[in-house]
Amino acid sequence: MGISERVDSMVVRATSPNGSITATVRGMDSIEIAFMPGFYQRATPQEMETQLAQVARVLWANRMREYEAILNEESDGNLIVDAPASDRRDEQFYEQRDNVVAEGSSPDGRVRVTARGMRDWSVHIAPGAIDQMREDEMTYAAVQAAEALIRDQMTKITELKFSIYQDEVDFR
Amino acid sequence: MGFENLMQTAAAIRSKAIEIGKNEIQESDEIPKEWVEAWRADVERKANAVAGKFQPFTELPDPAKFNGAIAELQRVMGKLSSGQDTSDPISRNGRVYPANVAMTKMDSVKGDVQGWSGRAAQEFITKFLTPFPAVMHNQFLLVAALKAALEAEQAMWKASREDIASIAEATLKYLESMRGCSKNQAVIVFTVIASICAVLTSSGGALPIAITAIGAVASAGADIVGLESAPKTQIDGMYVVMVLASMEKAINQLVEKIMYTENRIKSAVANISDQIHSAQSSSNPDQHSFCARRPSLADASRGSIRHDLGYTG
Amino acid sequence: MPGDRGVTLGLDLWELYRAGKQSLPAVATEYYDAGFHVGRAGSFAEEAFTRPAMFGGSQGPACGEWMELMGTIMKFLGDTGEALDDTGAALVMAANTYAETDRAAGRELQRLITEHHTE
Repeated sequence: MGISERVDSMVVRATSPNGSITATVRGMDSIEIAFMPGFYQRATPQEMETQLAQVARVLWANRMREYEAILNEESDGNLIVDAPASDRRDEQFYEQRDNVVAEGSSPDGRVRVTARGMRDWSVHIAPGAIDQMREDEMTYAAVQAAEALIRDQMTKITELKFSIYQDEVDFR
Repeated sequence: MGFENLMQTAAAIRSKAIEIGKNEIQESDEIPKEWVEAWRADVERKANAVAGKFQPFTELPDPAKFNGAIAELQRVMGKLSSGQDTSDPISRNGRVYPANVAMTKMDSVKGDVQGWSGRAAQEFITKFLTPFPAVMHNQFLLVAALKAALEAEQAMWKASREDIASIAEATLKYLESMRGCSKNQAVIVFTVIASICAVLTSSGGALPIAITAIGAVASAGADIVGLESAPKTQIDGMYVVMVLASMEKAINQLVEKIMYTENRIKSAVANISDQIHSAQSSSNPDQHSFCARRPSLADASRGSIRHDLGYTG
Repeated sequence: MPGDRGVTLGLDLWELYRAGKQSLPAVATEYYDAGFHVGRAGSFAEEAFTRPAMFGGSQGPACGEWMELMGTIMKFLGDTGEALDDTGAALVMAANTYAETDRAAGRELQRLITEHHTE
């Protein structure tokens, strides 16, 4: 099984710090979220937002670690992730990448997620949404918002890459 | 992967490059359709050129092809062995060569000719028979050096195959890792320059001057290699065509290193030939280290033989 | 006895004869053999050096120098072999030449040749 296959079939898990939320990402972009029994019933909106943001941060960090581990194993350590910048262009790429703000929301807009540099996450749940939505509707909305954020991140990185590196490619 | 699958790896590089290249840029407000098409065409053209860059390396000398010549020279070393100091002086893992018994017939000849007082007879003893063991030993060492040069070539080609396979493998793995937002790098270590040092000992101190040439070059090589540790390069690039450009650069570096290494072998061999010529054309007529001057006795005629041997009867 | 000197000479002649007929040619053969195998190594090596011309020419930069050294060594071995062979022939000629002029020595020489199978 080569690198591509392994990365596409990665399964990575994370739990929020107090254990109340578990999240899983499969491959590049397929998310699952589950609440510990009873959590959804007693959680305040702030607590919900905080725990969701935490689990997202940990999940993404774990995913990066798993990606690096796969590359490391498949290359006997010869494949380096995020190699040191070799010129100004690379430095710019890293700086700007760390500051990309990605966003995503559920289709009805009641759950919104943002992340800066895929490190600083915040989750906003519309007032009253917790009372109005069943647990499974909430997890579904959170998943939709997260997956939308990932797509937004990919788009922004593609644009960032193009803005910095396109004149190294003499295609016109 | 490995050298046997080099062209398959090259084909995989081509496919992966085209697959990635198709989706690297998308039509948008800033990016017109023509750019996307030009981009894809560029990727395809460069991807199609990949096989041609690896192809010549499939015709590199097969290290195994040097075995025949090496075996012949080992046989010659056996012929020229006196049994004393006849372990291989240059190659690591070289053998010990037992004495060639046939050569011991020389031992009795001095006694057979000793009583004859003629100048030619005495010259035969002092200028040919007496130095004979030393000359034969030097000839043994010369053949050892000739063999060592082939062993160095063999090691160099083995390492070259491994290095080109490393480049192909690193490029393919790099391409496969290009998903997501990271900026990766695949490291390649060149082993070809150091390969000849692994074959040859760096001693040479106990050998006659001429033979230290290959040993000295080997240790000089080890010194330089030691300084820069193992020479490296990397495969990197944010876009496929940049990756392929870094691959091409690595391939060109390998070609340079192969030429550099082989020129080292050439210099060592040329050095030996130079030192032989100096030794053999030395103004000191007694000093012919690698082939004794033909004894005048060998050209004796019926008319001269009594005088040559000193027979007065 | 008058023949004693002839017998002594005969022994000396036989030693020359033996050196020239057996010892030196035996060593010469080893040298010719060695030279032959060096040449063979050269043929094998010539093929082994072949590669695409982009790698320093179709035989590469080291082949010519190696072939030259190989040729030099072959010549040394061949010259040594010839020197041994020709000196051997001279010693045989010497023994026979002296035997012609000294009958006693000649008889002793023949006797020793036969006894020791020095043909």
